[in-house]
Amino acid sequence: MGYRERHKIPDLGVGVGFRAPHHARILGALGDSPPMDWFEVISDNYLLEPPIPLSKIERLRERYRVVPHGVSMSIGSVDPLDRDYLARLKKLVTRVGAPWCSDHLCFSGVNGVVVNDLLPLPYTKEAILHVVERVKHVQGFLEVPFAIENVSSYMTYRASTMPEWEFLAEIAERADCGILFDVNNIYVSARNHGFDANDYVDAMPADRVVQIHLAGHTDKGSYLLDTHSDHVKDEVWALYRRAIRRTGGVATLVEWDEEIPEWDVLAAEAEKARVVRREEGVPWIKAS
Amino acid sequence: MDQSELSALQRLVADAALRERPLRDDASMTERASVAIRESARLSSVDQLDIYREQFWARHVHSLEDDFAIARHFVGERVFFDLVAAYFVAFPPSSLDLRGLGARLPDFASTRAPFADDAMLREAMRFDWAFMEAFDAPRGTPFDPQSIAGASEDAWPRATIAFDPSLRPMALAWPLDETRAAIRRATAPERPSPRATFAVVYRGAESLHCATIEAMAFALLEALRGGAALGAACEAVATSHGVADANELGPKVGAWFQQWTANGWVSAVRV
Repeated sequence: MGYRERHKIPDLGVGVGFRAPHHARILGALGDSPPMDWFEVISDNYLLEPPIPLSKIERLRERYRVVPHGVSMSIGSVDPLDRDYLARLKKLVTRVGAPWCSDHLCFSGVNGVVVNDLLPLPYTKEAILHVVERVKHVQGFLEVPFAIENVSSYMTYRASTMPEWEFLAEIAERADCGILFDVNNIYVSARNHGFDANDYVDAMPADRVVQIHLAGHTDKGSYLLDTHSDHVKDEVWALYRRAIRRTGGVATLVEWDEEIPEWDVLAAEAEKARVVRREEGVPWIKAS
Repeated sequence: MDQSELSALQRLVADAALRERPLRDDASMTERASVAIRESARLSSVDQLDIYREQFWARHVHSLEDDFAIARHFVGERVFFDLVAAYFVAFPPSSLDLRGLGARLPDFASTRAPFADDAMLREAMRFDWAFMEAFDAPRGTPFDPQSIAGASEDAWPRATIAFDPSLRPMALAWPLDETRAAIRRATAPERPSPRATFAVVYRGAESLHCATIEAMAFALLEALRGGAALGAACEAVATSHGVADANELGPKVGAWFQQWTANGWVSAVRV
């Protein structure tokens, strides 16, 4: 039995991020709340001291399914895991009734210095062992399925001994965790490092993919930068199509975090993902 | 690669990210990068690592420029960047939260040029940070008018008032509330002329606000926030502002109190 089936991971359809410029619209302050299958919230915004009140998430939950997604766990750092952070994350996850939660396969700082970035790990056996123990601890502590997300990267360590997809898949397998499959990150990294993005998609353990991310990126000339500041590019839509064909019905999320457009533009981008899903034979039908 | 090598690699990347200058300007960093990172068809080892350094500075400086928009406007990009660079040497980012990144920056700036010799800039730093503090303050309890419905007239002088924790009253020597509003409207205000301004930064239901109040109201607010009873606070304010009889303040105090409760500043009145 696959990971999704064992953990009863639901297909939530296609959602978008819950971002400040759209809060009023989403929460019904400007009329009826708009149709959207689900929302992802950045969990870190609600875990800090002093915390941002959860009232908005509570109101969001009254209307939609909500899944927390983190950027700061630093699961790959050699620094100890932040137990206080995990305790607060557990409270949030419980409070929103999250079917799963996720963070990035990366490190964000070391020796107490926080770089606030998604820094890639070397793809080595030793790094796998290091991360697996930490993912097991996190997943056991949170008591909900935990998914690790592949990041965009801009450098290749000499120490790496395997491709990124093997690294990600082996960690997910050994730690028995889920994967948040970011197809834009795959495209960005493929272009930056000169590998075939299709190889990455084809190598994924499809049953472990609990969620897919879509986003826009920026061409900086000598490299692509993951900016979440634009429409999803055609090449990324093609990868999404390939991925969803392999995974079947998986919750999909459109990320747009910089130069955030009007709601209707964002909603239209989510609709494009629904069209791809329908065309690939994995439409999402809301449970009555 | 053992744990110590993984640790060394992570330290290299974090160290590189915090470097102020492009990494290729530093021969030792170029060498360290070439040992750890494989060059690509389009980028050298050090240029790949430098992408993370650029992103670090773009993200952190942008955050602080937003938090200290008045000072940034008047000192310009270069001076502000130099301030931030020196600040990060003294206080490397240690929090997952960019909200608290600038907590020590007003004090740090006050010892450095041009802030050390410019009181307006120092005040602007403190004023802008008050908005961050107000945003992060704990939630207060909303005032219940029924709680004072049965209070007798003669109990009022002994009354004490609890205020919303987000309140940040600031006696300013420049009208920085107007300057800040102009900058947020994306205009480019001139340096303000000195003008005593009594501002109260606070958090409303959904957003941050700044109200200006008259000097006596400000003095009374500060006395009450300090725990003084209403009668004693009125007497102290009357004395300090040359009002012969504290009772003359009565109508004004009533109007101020109404405004304060309407703004959500008052959490509780104990009579």
